[in-house]
Amino acid sequence: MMTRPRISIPSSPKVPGGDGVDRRGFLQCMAWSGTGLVWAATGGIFSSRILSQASASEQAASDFSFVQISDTHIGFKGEANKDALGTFEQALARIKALDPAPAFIIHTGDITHAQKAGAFDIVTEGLKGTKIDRAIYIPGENDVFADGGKEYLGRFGGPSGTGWQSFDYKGVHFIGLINVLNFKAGGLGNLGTDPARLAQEGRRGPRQQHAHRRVRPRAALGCLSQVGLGDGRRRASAVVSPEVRVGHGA
Amino acid sequence: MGWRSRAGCPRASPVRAEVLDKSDQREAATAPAPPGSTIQIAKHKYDRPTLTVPVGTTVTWLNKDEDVHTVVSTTQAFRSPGLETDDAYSYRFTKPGVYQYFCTLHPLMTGKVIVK
Repeated sequence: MMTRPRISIPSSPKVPGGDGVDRRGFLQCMAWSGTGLVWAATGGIFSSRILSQASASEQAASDFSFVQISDTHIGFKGEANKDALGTFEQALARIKALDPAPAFIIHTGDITHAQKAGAFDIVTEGLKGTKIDRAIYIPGENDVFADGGKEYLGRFGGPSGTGWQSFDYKGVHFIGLINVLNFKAGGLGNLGTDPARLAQEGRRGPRQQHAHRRVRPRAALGCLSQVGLGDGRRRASAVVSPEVRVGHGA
Repeated sequence: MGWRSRAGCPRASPVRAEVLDKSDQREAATAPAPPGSTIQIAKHKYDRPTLTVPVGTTVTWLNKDEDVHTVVSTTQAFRSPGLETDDAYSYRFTKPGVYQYFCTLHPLMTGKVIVK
């Protein structure tokens, strides 16, 4: 097969014009589901289950698994979820219970609600407590809007502005978009002025791709972001077509 | 395994938020704004995306959503902090003009105040 696997999950827009799920409905849904998914990668094909329905046999049979959590919104106290911290702790308990343990955790943004002081500490310490070696963070707009990303980028690293980060794991090339900085009125996710470079990134294979060449002619690709790509999406989607998105539609 | 960074365009310089002086805040606290100059934010929309007011009007935005929103002028003439549920932000328009604004967290939310 020369085509890349397409990764998709139902998006949960909080902007009008999507599938009608608003943020309140989304937060309620996330509270119910335990704010997380377990992804299992097998031969470059991904499948997912919500944390509370993780399948040990499915994970064991896969090349590797990872957990995606999102929209922890630490500091949120509204009606939609009066105990955001409790929901996060419930997710942590479910992550700790996974057997076999996932290879890593990806947080796809809105770690905090309105950049509350101390929220980044709560989430990073909580994820460290799962004993899973690595947690990877992708920002949501709640994490960066108040200070232009200064605290987020200082803590979690990344390009100095809009852009992306990437890493390879067991033949899969992961790209995390940082597209929540410098929003323009009327627009959506902002990829900056150089989408061609992202297109190039999308064509990159993992550095260890040669080791898998016989069984995987092309690398699998996972692209994650908090918000959709908006105007830039059409251009970028030609080469970065598989997307895992949580939080917003676009 | 580690992130490899790929920066896009550099971030624009931060702009200092413009706030009302104390006399404006006191006025807003003691005399409720007339209904014609309050814009409610609900369901990811400014309920009156186009509002026309006379010079000198203080316009108040009130967030009734559970999401955080902001009210930021596209020319940086004014910039609210993050408004959580039931938070409000006011700005007094002292010069005629068309003031476009949007939510910096949800940029599909846009509006304008026409000051005559």
